[in-house]
Amino acid sequence: MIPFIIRRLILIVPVMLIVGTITFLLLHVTPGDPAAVMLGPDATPAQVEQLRDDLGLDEPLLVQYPRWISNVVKFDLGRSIFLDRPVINAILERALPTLQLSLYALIIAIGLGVPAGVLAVLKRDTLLDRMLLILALSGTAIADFFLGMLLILLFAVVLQWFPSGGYVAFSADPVEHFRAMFLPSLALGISIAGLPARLIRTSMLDVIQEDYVKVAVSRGLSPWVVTTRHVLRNALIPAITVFGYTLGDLLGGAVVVETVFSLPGMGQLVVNSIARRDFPVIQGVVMVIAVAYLLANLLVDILYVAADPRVRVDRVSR
Amino acid sequence: MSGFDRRLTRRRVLETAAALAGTAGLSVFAISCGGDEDSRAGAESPTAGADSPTATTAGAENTIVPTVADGGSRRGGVLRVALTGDPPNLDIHQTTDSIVVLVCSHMYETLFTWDAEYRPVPLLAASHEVLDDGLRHRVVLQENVEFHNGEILSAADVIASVERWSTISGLGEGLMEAVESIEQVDELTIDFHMLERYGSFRTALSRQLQGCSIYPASVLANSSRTELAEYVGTGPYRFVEWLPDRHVQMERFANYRPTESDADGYAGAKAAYFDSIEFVPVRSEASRIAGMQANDFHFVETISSDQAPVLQDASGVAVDILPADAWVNIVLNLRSPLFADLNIRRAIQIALDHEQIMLAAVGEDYYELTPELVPGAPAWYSEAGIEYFNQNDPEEAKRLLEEAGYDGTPVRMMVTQEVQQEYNATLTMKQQLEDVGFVVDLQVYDGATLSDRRDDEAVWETYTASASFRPDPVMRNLSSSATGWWENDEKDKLFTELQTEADHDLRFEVWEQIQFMFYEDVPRLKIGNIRRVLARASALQNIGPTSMQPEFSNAWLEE
Repeated sequence: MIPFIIRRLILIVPVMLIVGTITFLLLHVTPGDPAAVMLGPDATPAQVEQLRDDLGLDEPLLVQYPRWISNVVKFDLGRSIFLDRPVINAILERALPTLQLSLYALIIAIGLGVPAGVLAVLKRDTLLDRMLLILALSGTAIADFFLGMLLILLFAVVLQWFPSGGYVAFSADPVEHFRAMFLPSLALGISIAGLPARLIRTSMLDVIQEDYVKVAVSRGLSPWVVTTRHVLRNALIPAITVFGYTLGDLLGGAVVVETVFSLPGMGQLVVNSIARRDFPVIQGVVMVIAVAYLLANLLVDILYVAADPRVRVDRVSR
Repeated sequence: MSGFDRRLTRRRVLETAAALAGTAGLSVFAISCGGDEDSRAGAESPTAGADSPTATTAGAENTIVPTVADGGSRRGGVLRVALTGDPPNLDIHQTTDSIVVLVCSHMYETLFTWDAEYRPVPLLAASHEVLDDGLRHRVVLQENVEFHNGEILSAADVIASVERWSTISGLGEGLMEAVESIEQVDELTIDFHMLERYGSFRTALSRQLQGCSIYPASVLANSSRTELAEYVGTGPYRFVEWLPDRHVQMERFANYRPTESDADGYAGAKAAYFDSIEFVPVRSEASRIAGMQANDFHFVETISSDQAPVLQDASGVAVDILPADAWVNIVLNLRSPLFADLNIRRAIQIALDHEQIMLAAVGEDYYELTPELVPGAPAWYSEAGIEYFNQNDPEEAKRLLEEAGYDGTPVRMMVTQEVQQEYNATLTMKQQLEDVGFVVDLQVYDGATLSDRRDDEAVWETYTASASFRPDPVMRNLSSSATGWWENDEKDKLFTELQTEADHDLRFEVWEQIQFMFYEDVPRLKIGNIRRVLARASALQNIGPTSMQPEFSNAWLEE
């Protein structure tokens, strides 16, 4: 297991080099100039040129690229053009709201999805089973921003139970923190809850055919015990892999949900940085997200092996 | 938005639960569709007239009255303002982005500002004299004005600020071209020795986009052209923190000493009633609207006109339809081979039906069709060139195109969808131009790409923008270096006269000639004036003028 983990960690280096190079080149061939954005709509071309010069943006790519790569190797992601601070600080400031949003959304998704999947199996081929399937598909199909706006309208505008947006740090006020995070987490959680629901249902229907389940039933165990101890536990193994890949959905959804709810997270940061062409920040965020992805996948593989001893490391790594 | 006030209580749950079933569906529909014809018809119709000094408050009980008020009961509270995005920086010298003026004018002040009639009057200056037949401007500063860092304002701060500003801003550069030297006469007196007369001296140093805010010399000593070392000014509020994408926060500056004169436009006393002000970037318009409906904000920077009916029906919200002070501006590229031909430009000018374009852009009730180029400043209202304005004669346009020998070269029209009114106007204009025989290549970009491409004279023929308010026409950038590149020696000569002449009547004559040339030479197309829409909490009173961005220094929240 240890050599496998080391091998995977070493592989991160070339992957990051490729990601970094592609991101750098894509950004610099994309039209759009941070100097023009910074100076505003009434700036003259001469003023824009002067600011480009001041910011060092008119240096050739062959000068900028090696400098950037050599700094990244030293964990220096550069300095934001707009935010008046190092990129790494800007990312760290926003990582927490995004991590919290993702965590709460994942809890909601599992909290809704897993019981719905189990219920669908227990009541399979009934009206309830079909209703749950429709709900799961609806949750996945509905656009995050639309669901977010509906939740704001209902819970913030009409009922006024929760704020329409914004962020309160947990350390500042835990109650207000959860109130502020509830609607965005619910919007994101509902949109991904369909996946565990359908996955658990399918996986449990497979497991339920196994001999050891029949043995458990014939021993006279209650349906609840059979379902939770024998069926659900074994059905969760393939689900671990898929949960790992929901990280992509979470981060993708966070971009939209953070914009709708004005949450100062990584999603907002990347969207705003693209709009204002803050190249160092965009490059930095892409690098950090890529590393997060790679590490999450590695973690999933490790968990998969740990959860199911029948799976050998060489099979996973292949 | 760290402080949302409402607490969840059982009573609130019971009260609102009953209302939920009936209203939720309707509200969802309303916000999704942006209002319907009935709700629009229900709105109070705004009064016409560019010279109306007060805003119309539709569907609300309050009218903005630009007067200062006193009274201890108004003091206190936190004002929360929703912005359309983060400011690019907190340095007014740096940018022409209006959001920076909106935020920073509470922290920084200028030597001069605007009274209610949009005349430049002293602010940090105590007096201004023009000496030596216009070749020396003497500015004496107010005594004992304290910066937020405890330093006292002196002539050295003003000189350092003017010098930095003039290396960044086009307006500052223009002023300094006329300045021979700046002399510090004493601690509070500065003499500007001029190479030539400069009648618009006060205007140049007044509050405006990329204006000359006064920073302490000690701060500027540690700052660069692109970054301020600290955010320190003399305004009624001082900087607390800027967390990009979260908020800009400022608090009342306890040592601010308001002048003894009454509030007058942006000038005079500033009461600073709020304990603090929080500017929150909310990029999504739907979220800004919802935040206003949920009473999470007291003021929304700007909303599109089709959202006005949605908010007019919201409780605790007032919608202000402002007098026209901006216009839809089609910039033509005079360095494009196609547009070098005046007949082609005239054909475009003649072909357009401005009414249809403005209807598509902002909708009924939110536009005016008048030819003046500085709407909102009645002193500069002129109808010079009206015969060229909104001609709407497709047949004549076709004839001109034929006469010019137009060969079907595409007109590359650039626009961004980020400003919906500009995009809608461009779509209608495209159709009208195609109807008279132009081939149009519509190019839709995001804002950053458009800002980049417009500086490249080889890649476009037109782009659509909004010309924002200017209290004095000399501030309207029609120079040959501005995008579009209107090169005309006669116009440049007149513009110099507009800058140097001090007498208003003479300046007005000059401006009328420039405006006529604008319509005759067709460097840009003025389509129509826009009446902007602002949304605020009904409790928010006395915002004051808004054309140079609102300032909340004399505003308060009613109980």
